[in-house]
Amino acid sequence: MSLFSRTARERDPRLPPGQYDAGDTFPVLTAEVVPRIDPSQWSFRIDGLVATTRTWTWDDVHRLPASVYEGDIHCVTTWSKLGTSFGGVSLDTLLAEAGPLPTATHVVAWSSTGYTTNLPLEHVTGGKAWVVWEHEGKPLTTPHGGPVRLLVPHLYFWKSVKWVGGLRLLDHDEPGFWETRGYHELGDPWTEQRYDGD
Amino acid sequence: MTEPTATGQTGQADLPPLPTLGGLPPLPTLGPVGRRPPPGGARREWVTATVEACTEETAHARTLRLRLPDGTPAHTPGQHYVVRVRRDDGSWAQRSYSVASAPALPPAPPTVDLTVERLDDGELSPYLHSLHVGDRVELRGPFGGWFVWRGERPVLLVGGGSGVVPLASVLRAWQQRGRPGGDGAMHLVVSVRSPADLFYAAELTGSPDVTVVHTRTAPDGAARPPGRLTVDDLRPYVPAAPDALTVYVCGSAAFAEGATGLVVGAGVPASAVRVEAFGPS
Repeated sequence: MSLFSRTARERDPRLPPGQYDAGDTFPVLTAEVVPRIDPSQWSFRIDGLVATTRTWTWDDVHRLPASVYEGDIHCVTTWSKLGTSFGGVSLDTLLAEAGPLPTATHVVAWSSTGYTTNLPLEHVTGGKAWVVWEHEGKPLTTPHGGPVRLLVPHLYFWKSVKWVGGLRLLDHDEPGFWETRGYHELGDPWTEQRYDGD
Repeated sequence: MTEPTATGQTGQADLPPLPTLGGLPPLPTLGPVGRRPPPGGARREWVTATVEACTEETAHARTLRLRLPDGTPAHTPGQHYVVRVRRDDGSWAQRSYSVASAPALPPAPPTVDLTVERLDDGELSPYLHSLHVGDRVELRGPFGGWFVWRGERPVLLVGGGSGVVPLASVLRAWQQRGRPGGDGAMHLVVSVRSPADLFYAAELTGSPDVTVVHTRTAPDGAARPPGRLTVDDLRPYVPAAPDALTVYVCGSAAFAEGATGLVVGAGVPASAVRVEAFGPS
């Protein structure tokens, strides 16, 4: 048995396997109580294997060179949002100020809620990751991780930590919240790395 | 199943904490961190199940009882399966559905009940509503290691609409085990628009373990007038020492945000609340 495509056009090549186009919607998935974080109280810290532990406030990150991501995002629950945009600062800019040590190979990104996720350092450097506070030109709303979330759009969206508080650089991989609860270590949408062992 | 621990993190107490580096402060955590591949193998493969029964729950929702291959391990209450169907262009449509049933314990054959709400503009749900007994379905699972019940108690379950599905699995599993802890060790508060929107109505209505809250239309003679869930609906099920409680909230993003606010407002620490929320913001 098969499903008939609802439109005659070809499948959008921007959709990774197993994904569908969520259109104008932007679904919300949450595992924990949504925190209310006043931007004046928010900060972002990079620590661990860096030359200098650095902390930025809301005003600090706004003084850095702005960077916008325009493209697609993919959730492991199979929706993708195509042609969207987020504004903030490139993680490269922040990491350059902290100075990763040569021994650093991985990061743990964390939220003040206690949510964590692991990422190889090479997946958050070289223009692949951002710290963002705007979505399609408007302030990022609280359910979507506002005031500030991580954005790593080439991986499933559980890696893009909502209400992000910082990064810790490590010399080893340290699986995070979902990675220790049945989900894949890396989460590449194009090879459908959804669950453990995929 | 192992017995619950004081922290509610059954079976995880032996895992090492996240190591700290050179005196750095520990990072915040939602619970013990450790590598826990699912029992029975790291990868869950696609399997073919057979529709064993179909039950209409409401005008828009039906439960499919699926017979899984022999030897399939039982799910943990709260987990979900992923169902896939091939489109005529060769691509796969996949969606996750929570298990509603209690674990099928041997010698019972492995089955799961998936309750599917039909979305008019949905892709998979109208298809799943067209299936008949004997039809085959491809699925993978069970998945999920957070919104699961491993014997914690006391427990408060708070569901909105179709969010009752994984909570029904938890409640049924507790009842299946003989209601450990007795009255008050587990309670389900489910919010629906009207009596016609309640899943598993024959089972849940009148159960001492369940409170049904109607937001738009209450049944004749109901003591509570229709209206949104309030903290007063939850407070009777929050113990005097709320630190011991584990709360599971499931529903739309809007429902979950409202309900978690009420739970925290009733004195429950945010760290004791597990949420499964999805849908448009």
